[in-house]
Amino acid sequence: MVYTTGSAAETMSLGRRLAGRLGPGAVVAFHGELGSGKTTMIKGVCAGLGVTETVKSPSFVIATEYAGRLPVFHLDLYRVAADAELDELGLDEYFDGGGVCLVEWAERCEALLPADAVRVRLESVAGGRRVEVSGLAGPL
Amino acid sequence: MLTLGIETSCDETAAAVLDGRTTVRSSVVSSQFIHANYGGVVPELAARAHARLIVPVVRNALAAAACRPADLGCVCATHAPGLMGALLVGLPFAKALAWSLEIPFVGVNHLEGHVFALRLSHPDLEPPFLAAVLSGGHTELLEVHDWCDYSELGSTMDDAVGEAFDKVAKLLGLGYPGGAALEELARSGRPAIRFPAPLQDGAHRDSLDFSFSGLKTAVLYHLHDHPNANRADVACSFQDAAIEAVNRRLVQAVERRRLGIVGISGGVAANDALRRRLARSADEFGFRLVVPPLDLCTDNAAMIAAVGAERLARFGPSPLDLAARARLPIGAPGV
Repeated sequence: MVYTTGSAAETMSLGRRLAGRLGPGAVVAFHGELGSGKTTMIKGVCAGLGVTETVKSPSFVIATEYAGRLPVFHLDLYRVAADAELDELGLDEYFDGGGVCLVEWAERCEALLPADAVRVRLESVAGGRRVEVSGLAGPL
Repeated sequence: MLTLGIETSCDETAAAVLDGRTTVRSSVVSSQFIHANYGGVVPELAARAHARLIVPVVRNALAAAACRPADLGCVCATHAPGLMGALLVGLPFAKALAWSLEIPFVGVNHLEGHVFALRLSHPDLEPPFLAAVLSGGHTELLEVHDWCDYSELGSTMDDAVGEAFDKVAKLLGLGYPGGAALEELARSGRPAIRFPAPLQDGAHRDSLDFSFSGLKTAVLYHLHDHPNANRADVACSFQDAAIEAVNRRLVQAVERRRLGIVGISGGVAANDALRRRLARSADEFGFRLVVPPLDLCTDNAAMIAAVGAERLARFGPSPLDLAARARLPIGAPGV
């Protein structure tokens, strides 16, 4: 499904709707360039999962854990080299951690993503963002 | 008393020996250049490099301070916040060393270290003052009531200020991390483009929080719409907007909390244009601006030792089962 959002608030709202479809063990792979709205949408997903803390960019620390109605693991592979030994990062421990994994720059760990990962592709277009969500049955 | 400080929270392996509260006997920092080959940081490589470097770095710090392990009175290490695998090299090393020497161990919050960097460069500095930690991982505005006693006045809602510099540098094709390259490019540019001032509208006008994500996006839009834009002008305009956002918050905080001293620390505090802008505000609003030299602004272990020595005197040692934490607000219970 393809959605179009006209503001950061709308992108967050779409994230909230996505949160309603996520259960324990869900992995959501976010793709999109710098400034395409990945962290903004993830702020919405986290709010929808009951996270009350301010969700910040985890680029620096790579992984941040929040307590929502499920544990939420916010991963950001921006600073992670694509050709590094990713299997040593311990990503599978997050994916198998019984919570919801939200992965920014997920193309950098493509081989490690579970087959049933939800895909979110964000793109900056005139007037807003184009958000393509796949891997879920039916619309958000 | 001699205090050994150890810092391995991110890309720097560092050790330092502090005499008393403010006399730095030695400070050794070994940056990990290995990551340049990969175009990013590799947590596993970072941890391995820390493991490889920690013994020689500590040895060098002790040698440069002309002391032996037996002369130490305390060992401190950063236990939060930072990269988990990286923290898990320095922290257990410090605990084991303290245990084997039968001397106290103190766990240190890295952010508190940046506050104490101000004390190391300006030993006459006394609270209360406003401290701003401005780096690639942090953007924190703290009211320092007393040493080891803080209130967080504001923080970033999204990207850290140094992260915004690095990401905009990437948009400008300057590589990553490219904050310093961006500053260099901005020198030859003019502030010709008006980028939006973050969090200055309605509900946020009175907030002391920061936001740099929207500014980054504004630069992105500008580059989309003007593919032939003068990159130096873009760099200069972005830097101006980011610095103005920091300056405005600092002035707001000083006025609201009636503080007479402002200290800035962290890697972004090395930015020359920021220093000059804040110096102008210091003149205009009548506060004292405290900026440590570059080697104390960026990550180092002397500031970690400075926190540890103070905390040991005030609160005693930390337990040897103190856990490493990727995130930890400053002043949170647990340290």
